[in-house]
Amino acid sequence: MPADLENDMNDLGARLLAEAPPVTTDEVLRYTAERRSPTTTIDPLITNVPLTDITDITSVRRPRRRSVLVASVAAASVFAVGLGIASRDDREPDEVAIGATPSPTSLASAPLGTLATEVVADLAWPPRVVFDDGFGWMIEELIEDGQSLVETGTAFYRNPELGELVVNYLRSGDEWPVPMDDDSIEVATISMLGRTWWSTAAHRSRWSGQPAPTRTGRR
Amino acid sequence: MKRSQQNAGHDEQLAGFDEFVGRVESRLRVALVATYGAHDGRAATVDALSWAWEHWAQIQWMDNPVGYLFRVGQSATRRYVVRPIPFERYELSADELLGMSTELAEAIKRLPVQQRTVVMLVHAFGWSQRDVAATLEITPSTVKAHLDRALTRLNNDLELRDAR
Repeated sequence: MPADLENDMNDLGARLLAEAPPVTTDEVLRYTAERRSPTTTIDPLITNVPLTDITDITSVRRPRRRSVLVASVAAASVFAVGLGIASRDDREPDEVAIGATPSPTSLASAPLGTLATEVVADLAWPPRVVFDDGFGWMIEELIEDGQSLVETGTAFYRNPELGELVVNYLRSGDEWPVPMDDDSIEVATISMLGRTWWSTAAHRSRWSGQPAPTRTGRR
Repeated sequence: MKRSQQNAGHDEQLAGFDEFVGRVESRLRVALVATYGAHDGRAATVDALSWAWEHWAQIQWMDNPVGYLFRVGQSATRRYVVRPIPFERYELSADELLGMSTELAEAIKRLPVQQRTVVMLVHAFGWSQRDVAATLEITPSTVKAHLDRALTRLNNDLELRDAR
């Protein structure tokens, strides 16, 4: 490397470090404490969306945007498959929130919740797992490519408002506590995972007692 | 009695973590700053060390905690990017790298992320190629390959500009 370039590089390094002072233990502990403090918030993005009673919205506020994979226990079958895909494709989330919806559905799917937890434990880069009471959540981090987005846009036929909400949220890049019912979560999750649809459906059939759909969509 | 024992245990953990931060913070921060610039690199350092504190029982016995936390920090930076639509799988654009508009900084921004990290660590921060390999958990030959390619691209890029 030419000497003048080497000097410029050294200068660059010095300037960078001047702008990035050392991180202290206190700062780390403060940041960790902030991350752990759940607060109930209402996202401005969703206040105009009459999807649900906004008093049901619970989120975990963090100082920065997070990549979070969230699902209600009722949607845990989808959740588990999604996590498997995420892990395999190196798209694992940093954090996983499992909402325990207090309903008969969640009781029935408790084994799936356990399965989801086991899948999380197998991730190469284990995310932080948050068990949160309250409303359902949905997958975010797995949407990585344009194809998935197209599928997301077209597959919200059962809930176009939700589809619009998703797109607006993704466009904004904000944190998103998502209010929706469990059924919507499954639709949304399946849509976003795209290619996991069939395995998800097959997985669900084990619990519903219904035969798994074929690849043409017929039972 | 039990409470005082718990407090003592916590203090001990905290002291160990404090020592750990003192030992690894600089290398971790430099590596992440070399990759993501001053702002995001430092934020990723905080994130990674926070993760370390939350997983202290696991991290304190690792052979190469800096390498592991570097990957944790990389994951954390994904959260800092506002995603465009349509989604593209992309690396951080390094738009904030240095916040500088010098020709050199611009040329560095255009490098693929691994080449950028390696060339910055070696030539801007004076790391040995062996240290870079250990931290990034790649082989020394890969470091050398990234470095050679990065320098070639930098030289070409800067020469082209000079020729204009």
